[in-house]
Amino acid sequence: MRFEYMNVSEVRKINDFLEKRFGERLEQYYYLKQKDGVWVFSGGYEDFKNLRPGFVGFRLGTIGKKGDFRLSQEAAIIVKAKKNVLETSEEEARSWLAGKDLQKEGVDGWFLLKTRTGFFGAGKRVQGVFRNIVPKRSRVMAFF
Amino acid sequence: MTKPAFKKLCQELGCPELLLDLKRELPQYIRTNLLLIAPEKLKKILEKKGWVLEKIAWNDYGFKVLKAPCKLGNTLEHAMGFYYVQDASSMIPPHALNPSPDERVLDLCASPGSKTTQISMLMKARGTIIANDYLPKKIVTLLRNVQRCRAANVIGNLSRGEKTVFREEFDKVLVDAPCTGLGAMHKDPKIIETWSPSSVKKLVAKQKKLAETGFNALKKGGVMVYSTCTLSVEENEGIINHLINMGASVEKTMIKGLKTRPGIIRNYDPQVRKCVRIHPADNDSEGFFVARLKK
Repeated sequence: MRFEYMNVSEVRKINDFLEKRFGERLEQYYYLKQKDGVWVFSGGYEDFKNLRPGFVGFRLGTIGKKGDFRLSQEAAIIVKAKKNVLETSEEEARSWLAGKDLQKEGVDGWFLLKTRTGFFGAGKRVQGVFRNIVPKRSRVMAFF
Repeated sequence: MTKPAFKKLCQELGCPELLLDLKRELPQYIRTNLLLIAPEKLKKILEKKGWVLEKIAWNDYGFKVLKAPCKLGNTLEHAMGFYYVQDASSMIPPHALNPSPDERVLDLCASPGSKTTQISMLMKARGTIIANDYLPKKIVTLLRNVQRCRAANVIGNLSRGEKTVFREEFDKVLVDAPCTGLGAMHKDPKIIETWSPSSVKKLVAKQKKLAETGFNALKKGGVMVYSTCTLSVEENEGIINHLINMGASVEKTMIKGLKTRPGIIRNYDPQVRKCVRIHPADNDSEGFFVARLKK
């Protein structure tokens, strides 16, 4: 897979989105793209000589067809959000991680989802529903 | 019936009861992911849910699970990346490697990622880890664990370890080589049925190539850890002897609170005595072999 470093204006756009939505910029990382995927990497600069990377660092999200940025499910544990954090019950968190949509009334937009103990996902609320974005291979069906 | 070759190994190791020892049930362990939570906080959260945990004597982040109300991987806290289900012995190689933030580290046989994520944790997710494995599905498994644990300094590299060409690029290298797995026999008692001198011989050829690749990738003055979860001498001290012939020197692995046995010298270089063997009876954990080498 071909990973490319993103340019300054592409990175700024993502950080502007993160700041506006969550009150936090992620500027300590290298930003890379692979097709429509956006990855952040906290290691040193790599020229990828002699490498065949399957992934580079942490998958932060994707850039949609209209140029909008969509968070990955796991982005919640890397963005240290100061706002737009939605606290749910553990039961709701289990249901989300098993692949179910989450019904929560409120304003539309991206939220980071957490329980009392920690973050478990990211989701976009549209008309009171968070459509599930947990990849099928990552779903946990047999929760305690 | 015990195979003659296995009997010979038991005699050589001075453990006539080795087979029973390897087959007995062992406790399960978890490793706190210090990138996301402190051990005391994790303990408190899990104990509220009916777990009983006991701290491992030789590190600050591992717990022996004395009681759990469910499968260890089926909890919200696991999905949140707060801990990794990992045998205590398997936590030794990254501990022995002792990586620092900002170093460049190669993990040559990385999937599923228990040791990779532990190395990342010890590096505070700074510096670079090249986590290598040879099948796309293994890289996908690795990615899932890296994402879950927020190990953002890992590059998953798709390549056959023994054919990878790195030249003196890394400060630290971990070669956790594929092996006959005698030390993990408690999980699969059939391992003894497939274990034989010819299965060992087959793997030794691969292990030698992997160890050579790892050693060539190491900068001068760098440190490499070679480990397996087996107890055959050829797969362990035999490989280390080969690396000594390539110019490696063995450093003694001293971990306070961990009971270990010295390497078996046979007709090898006496330095192999500085390697570390762990038998299940020693620490109530899987059988393991760990060697720390300097270039």
